[in-house]
Amino acid sequence: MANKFNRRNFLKAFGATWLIAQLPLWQSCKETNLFEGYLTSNQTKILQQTLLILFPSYKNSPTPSILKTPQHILNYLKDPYIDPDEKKFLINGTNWLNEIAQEIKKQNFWTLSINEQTELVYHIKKKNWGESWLSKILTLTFESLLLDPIYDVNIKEKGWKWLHHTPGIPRPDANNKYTSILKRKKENVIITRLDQL
Amino acid sequence: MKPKKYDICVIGSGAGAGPIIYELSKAGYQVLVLEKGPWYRTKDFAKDELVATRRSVYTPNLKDEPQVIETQNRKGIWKAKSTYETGRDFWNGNCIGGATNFMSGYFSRLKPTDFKLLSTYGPIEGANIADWPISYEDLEPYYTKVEQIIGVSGKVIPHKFLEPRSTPDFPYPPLQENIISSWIDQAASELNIQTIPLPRAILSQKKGNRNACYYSNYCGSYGCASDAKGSSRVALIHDALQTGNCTVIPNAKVFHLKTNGNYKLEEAWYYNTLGEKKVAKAKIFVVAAQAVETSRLLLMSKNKEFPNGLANNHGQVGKNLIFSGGGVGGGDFYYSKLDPDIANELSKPGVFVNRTIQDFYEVKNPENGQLMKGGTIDFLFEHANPVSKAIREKWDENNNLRIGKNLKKHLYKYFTDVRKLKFEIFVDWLPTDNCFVSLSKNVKDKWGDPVAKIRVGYHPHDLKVAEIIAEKTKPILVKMGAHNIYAGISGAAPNNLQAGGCRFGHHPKNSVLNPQCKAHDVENLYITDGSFMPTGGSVTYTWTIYANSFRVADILKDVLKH
Repeated sequence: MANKFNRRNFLKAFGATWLIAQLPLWQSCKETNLFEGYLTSNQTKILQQTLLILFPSYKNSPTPSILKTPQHILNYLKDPYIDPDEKKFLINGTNWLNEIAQEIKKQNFWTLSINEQTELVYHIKKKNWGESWLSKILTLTFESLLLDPIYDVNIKEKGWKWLHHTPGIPRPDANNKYTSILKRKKENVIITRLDQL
Repeated sequence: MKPKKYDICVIGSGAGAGPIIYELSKAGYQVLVLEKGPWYRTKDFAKDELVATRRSVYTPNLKDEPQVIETQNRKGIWKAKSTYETGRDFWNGNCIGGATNFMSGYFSRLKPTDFKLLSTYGPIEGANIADWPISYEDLEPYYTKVEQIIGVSGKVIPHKFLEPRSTPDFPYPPLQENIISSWIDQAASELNIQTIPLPRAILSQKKGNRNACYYSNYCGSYGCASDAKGSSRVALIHDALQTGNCTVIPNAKVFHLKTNGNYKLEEAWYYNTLGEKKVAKAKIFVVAAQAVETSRLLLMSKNKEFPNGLANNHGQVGKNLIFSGGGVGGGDFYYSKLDPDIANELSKPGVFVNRTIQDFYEVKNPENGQLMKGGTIDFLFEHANPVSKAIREKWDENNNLRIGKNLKKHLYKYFTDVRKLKFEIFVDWLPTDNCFVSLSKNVKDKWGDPVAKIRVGYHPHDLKVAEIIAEKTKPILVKMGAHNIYAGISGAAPNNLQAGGCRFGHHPKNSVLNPQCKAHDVENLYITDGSFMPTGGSVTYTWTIYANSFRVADILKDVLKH
């Protein structure tokens, strides 16, 4: 998708503008919100309902809640190495989808029936920016489906089992997983002996 | 405190740097290595897709270190865009050992004619083809040295384009193969095409502290957990450290090479991980930062004697950048359409395909019937990376997004019923005036230095040759019974196969380096990554870069002796 249009201009165009337009969504909510501090409870609902439409229950396949896809998306939003514009785009897509719901259905997205929500998701899929937002969510969903369970996704290897996937050995451990290995980039060392490593 | 003066300072630690580091340390010289990336240890290399391909771990963050890529649009206008804007990452492995940690290790030598492309096949309009100032015979002993020290596995089979060898066979036997390799052999044979076991820079047997390949199924793009892969890090730098003569500073980003006012380099300036400016002194400097970044560093290093960049008084630095031309093709095999036992064999993960074809290294030009330079075909399975596979399945044949149950249905079928065989086409990327490195005037990295601006124009002849080879290869897949056979030829530059920019030659007016890979105009600057190559041959470059670096190491030992 990155080749279809200039990714950066796209992210900029749909960054802050949407955030300002949808300020009411940021109003506090008393419900428990997994994304507290990152998404309002209403934005969380939009995201979770979108996930169910993109990757629904089907035969014996795992669902986003089983895979802990929302938690994976939260980890992505918390990751300091991820481009802030990418994160902003991911968040603001929820606002944008709700605005479409208000325009077309005269209701907030999370109050619509699943059929109406699905209709709107298919509607935005036809737009470059809608397709890009959904694609981004799907990519993160695939990560939650197929990354190593050390990242608290692909719970009980359900994604691997569903797709008959054999992981490579050695699998990541606490010392070399993503957050640990990034520390190598900050090492200020002078190596003169092999046993220093 | 006054910095220590080393015999030799090497900038970079990949294929072009490793042999120098290894040979000079072993010869008793004091070697300093400045590498912009971190030192990942073997124990760091798990088969973790998040680290290996989904996040910028082995490569820089594009916001901190973008590059600018200039491509031509359909109207013929060149458009420059930052990689941070487009998301198109042009970096390779930035760490000790460089991209050799993550290579697939498909190793083929250049042929004797690759050293004299111009005099063998003649000029091509719009291409800056030049013969090399050395011959295959000059490099042959060093190709052999690479086989032994880096460790190359394979089997020599006589064929039409087999290059002369000083040894009868590879030091390590071929790696284990999937059943599909025999299908390729059979189908090709019926078409009178000869297949050859593909040599790999992967150990099939233990070598010293390095273990043999254990067929993890995750090779290219991943660091090796057994040290079987012949990375510069494990095959060379580990041994160099054992001598006590080698000092390695990871996370050291060199940004300037300073001369003494009299055409001699005296200092390399670098940032450490704290952002502090540091100075390294040496008698001799070797730059091997991979082609694009090597040219960038020289262009950034403006000195009194070199107002346009180090070694660039003839305006040649960055020019004639090359990549590997060609494309990709393939076909699908459905388990459900095969006998269950055969399907079971085909589905075995880990073992390799390891087949190459060099029958097309010279082909007939359909326009005039004359022979012209052709290329190589390598066969391989689609990579096992599951997230990347799923992402590809996200898009339907019309490039529309799949969602919902339809997506899940496709995902399941793709993962459980298909094995995809691919072939990669390697042809010469002819050097032209539209493929070069310069400095961006408006995009800077996190240190405030201008980033590399890379114009990636290709010559239409490259596509013509690749098309011919693709058409000769597809019938093999047809005979094998593959479905959905395709081939895509492209002028897109593969970032992992870059060379040129500081080509070697006899004359300063059209080359940066002399035949010894020393800069014409600088007394003590050598360049040993792929930058030196005037043409690239029709195979991957790594073996040739390793071999040439061993050659230059011998030259440096002589220089330091005197």
